[in-house]
Amino acid sequence: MTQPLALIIMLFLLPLAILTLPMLTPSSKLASPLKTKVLAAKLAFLTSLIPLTYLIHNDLTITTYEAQWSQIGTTTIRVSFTLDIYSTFFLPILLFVVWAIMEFTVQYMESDLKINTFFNQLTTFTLVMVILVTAENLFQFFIGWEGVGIMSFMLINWWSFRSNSNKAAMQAVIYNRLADIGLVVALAWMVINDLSLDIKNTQVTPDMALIPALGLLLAAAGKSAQFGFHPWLPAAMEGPTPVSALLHSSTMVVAGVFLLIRTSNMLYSNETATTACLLLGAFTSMLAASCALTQNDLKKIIAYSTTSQLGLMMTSIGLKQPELAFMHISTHAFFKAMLFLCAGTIIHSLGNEQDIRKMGGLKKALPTTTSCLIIGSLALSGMPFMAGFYSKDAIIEAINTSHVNSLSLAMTLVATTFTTLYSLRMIYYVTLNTPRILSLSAVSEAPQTTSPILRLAIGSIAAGLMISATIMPPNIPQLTMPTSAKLAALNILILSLLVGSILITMANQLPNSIKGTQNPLISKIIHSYFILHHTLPSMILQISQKLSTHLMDQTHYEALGPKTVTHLQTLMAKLLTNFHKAQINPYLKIAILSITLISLLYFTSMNAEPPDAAHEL
Amino acid sequence: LTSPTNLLFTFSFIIFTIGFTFRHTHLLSALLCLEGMMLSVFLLMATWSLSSNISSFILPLTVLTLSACEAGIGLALLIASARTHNTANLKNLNLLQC
Repeated sequence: MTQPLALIIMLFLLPLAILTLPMLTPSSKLASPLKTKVLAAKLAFLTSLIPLTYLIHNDLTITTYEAQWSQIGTTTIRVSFTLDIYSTFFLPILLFVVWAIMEFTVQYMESDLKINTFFNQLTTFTLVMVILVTAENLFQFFIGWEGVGIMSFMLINWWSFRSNSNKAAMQAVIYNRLADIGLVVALAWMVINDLSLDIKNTQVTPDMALIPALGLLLAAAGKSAQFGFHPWLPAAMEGPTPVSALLHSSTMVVAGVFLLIRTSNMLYSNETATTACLLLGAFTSMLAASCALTQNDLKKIIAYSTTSQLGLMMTSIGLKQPELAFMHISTHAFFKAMLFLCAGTIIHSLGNEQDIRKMGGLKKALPTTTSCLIIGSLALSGMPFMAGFYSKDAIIEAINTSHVNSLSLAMTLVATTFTTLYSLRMIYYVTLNTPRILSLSAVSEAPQTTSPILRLAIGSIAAGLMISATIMPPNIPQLTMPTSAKLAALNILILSLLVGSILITMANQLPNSIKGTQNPLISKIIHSYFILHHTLPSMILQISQKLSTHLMDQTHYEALGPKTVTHLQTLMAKLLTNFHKAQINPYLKIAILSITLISLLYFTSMNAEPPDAAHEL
Repeated sequence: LTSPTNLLFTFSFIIFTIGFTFRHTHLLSALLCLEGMMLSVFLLMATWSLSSNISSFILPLTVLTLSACEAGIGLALLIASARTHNTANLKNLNLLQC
């Protein structure tokens, strides 16, 4: 406690400086720029453990650094970094995942010419995420929020010559923008009601707090792909696998949940918003899990799995347990990133094949990847004493012992069942049974790709215990409950594993009918984006084309004015030049005609009586 | 100025001019009408100088000389164009058309 404040901030800024330095040096000056960046990520991770140890050693004290930036009226906008539990724990996890992904990317995208730009974009994303995580006031948080949105757009659209990537990036940006409306409304409400923008000052009276609570809920729903805003996350799988692993599994999509964790007091002062949060989370969780059961694209299965877990985090916030949500964020980062990296190895080995119906029998060909896939799936399903167990089981216990409506409880349990089922389906199609791959696949597991996966595997086994042993929950959890409630998650896991394996072994005996090849209705409902994505925008764009472009710009301003004049002039000129034959004959005729006309006029305008002088002649 | 002789020659000038403009095809008819115009102008000048007591009036003779030169040049041009274009049609003299 006798450490000066500046030293703490130095310790916090050191990993960021280490991470940024290779990006700022031009890559021609470095001997091997990629290895330098990977090394920088590793060192940044190791140095970010120092604030963590300081925090744990000093019994979880919070350190904040503030500086005044500007003052608008009576509201002061500050630059403030906070190192409380959430940011100090999240920072090493983030940098660990970034290190693993960067090491994976060196091997995965080595044939890409712009790999340095890719690394720079990943580093920029990490920096912006750190700004988001360590922000103390909502204004700085908003800066980080926008930053991750933009980096997500740029990284999804890495292969920008592909129209599907363009569409996916547009979806990501537009859905995130809709979410930003909520955050801006909440900010504006806080400024109007003379609250400071600091996060620790989010204590409001219960009467008026509906608007900011709903605004924050909208922001989190959009960023974290809850039900109404979910299409962008599966579509974001158009980006390269490292992008999916970093952004859309561990870090960016948890920004919305992180916002709710930070401002949870404002949410809980309003019962409506809390219940809405709970129901939205449970609904998303169940729908996404049921959608993942019918997907045939490997990355989309994992994307829907991410959406389902985000719904679970939202549910735990709705249960007034934000610490559990944070713990689920931390443990989820490990195994989800590992699942994505395993998927990347599989896709790369099979020659960019992403359809699980064309994979199979990779158990012997890719042993490390298969084992890590299984470890990740078990951690995801909540196998006891792996990482996911500490967070997921705690959430399910909390929901079993709280005064919540049973609908959300039922949906969450259904989602947990489906989690195991789709993981099992994925493993079965990818690694077991007979191979359906092409014959000449370059199946390989280079050590550079397997070592990050193994590190993440160690993390996904051990992280749960390590984090839960060091964080004490502020609320005392319900410690006594009926046995069936306590064992609910475990029972679901075992039952669904058994049922899943039975279904798999029986799948070959189903009759071959056409009905079996279609997706079930719920999957079609989820994917019915046509009206929202195609019809409405095309209607709006047609209105704008007809009304503003065709009518105003092109008709009233152009066609009725200058263009008509030029058109008529050129028309007349073309008509008249046909008369200009270069013959003397017509010219002379016109000349004689004019002379006769003028002389006729002259002679007929004279008086009847000539003057006397002419008469004498 | 409106005595009958003058009126006669004025009208002949007008008729030759109309014939010069409204001619049909051949360039030679234009040259003929041109000669006729010059002739009627000469006659107009001669009779006018007779009836107005101007002593030494060389202009008619000058005009006559110049018209003879002009006729020679015209005939030369006619033959030149006939040698290059193989006709003397007026419709072929359209080099200046755009």
